[in-house]
Amino acid sequence: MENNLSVEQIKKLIEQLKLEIIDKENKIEELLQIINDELEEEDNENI
Amino acid sequence: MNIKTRLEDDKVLGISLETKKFLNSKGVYTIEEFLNIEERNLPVTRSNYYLAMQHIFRHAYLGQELVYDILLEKEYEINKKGCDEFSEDYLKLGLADKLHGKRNIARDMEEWIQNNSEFLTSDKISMKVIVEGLFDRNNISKELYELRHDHSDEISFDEYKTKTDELKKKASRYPGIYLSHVNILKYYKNYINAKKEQKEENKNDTYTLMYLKEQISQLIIQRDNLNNQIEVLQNRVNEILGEKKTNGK
Repeated sequence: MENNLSVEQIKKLIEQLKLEIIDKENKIEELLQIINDELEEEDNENI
Repeated sequence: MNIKTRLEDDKVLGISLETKKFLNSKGVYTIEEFLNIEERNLPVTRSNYYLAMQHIFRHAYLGQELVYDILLEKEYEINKKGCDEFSEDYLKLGLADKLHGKRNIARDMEEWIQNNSEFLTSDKISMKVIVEGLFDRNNISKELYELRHDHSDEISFDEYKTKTDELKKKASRYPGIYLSHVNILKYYKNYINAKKEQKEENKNDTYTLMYLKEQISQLIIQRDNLNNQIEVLQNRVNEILGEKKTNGK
């Protein structure tokens, strides 16, 4: 696919992938925070 | 550079003893192992710092594109909205731990803008400029520290006071944003300098195209790996919330 694209277009694609990676990392951090909060809540209830 | 380098031998960031201890506790001893660690094994309060380190190591050891360079290139409006957006990206870059809080970073930025409005020549400011400013401020802080700990009696009290006041005044022009990781700041500063020296050329030769194609493949691998992690974590969240519902909480 990339063979038909110009350098400029490939650079745009790279930029888009970087943004996607950052978004996905944010999503993971959000999910980890939920898990962490839930586990903490559970621990507090068990005390 | 060898990806099998042990954490304590790394020269790129100079991993702190505390970070090394934490990673060792997760069975991670080399850069390669660190790059393969899953996010769920990172501490929630400072996961941003570890993620930033991973991106830096991929760039330094594997010659991959620095994913966060799009954040370094980003510009922010000089208003509350811009400061909020800036603080989010500042933490993402791993310059301070997430624990420190977005609001605190945004407040530091707002305060600096307020006190230095005469030096701001545009209605926008880029992350690059802030990184360079923080670097200069950090150097001034080092000078101040050395001056305070200079017991050689070579300067009089008056000279000491004048020099200290001068340095403090100079430092106040640079952003005083909370900074936890000077090693990461230095890496970004060197990256920005190296990029400035590169000529912006859009060569269409085979070598450039092959290089860019390889970068795309690497980024796709990273993205897919994150997708897999999201799936696992989403299932875990659904499980926890499902259990909570069943227990009537």
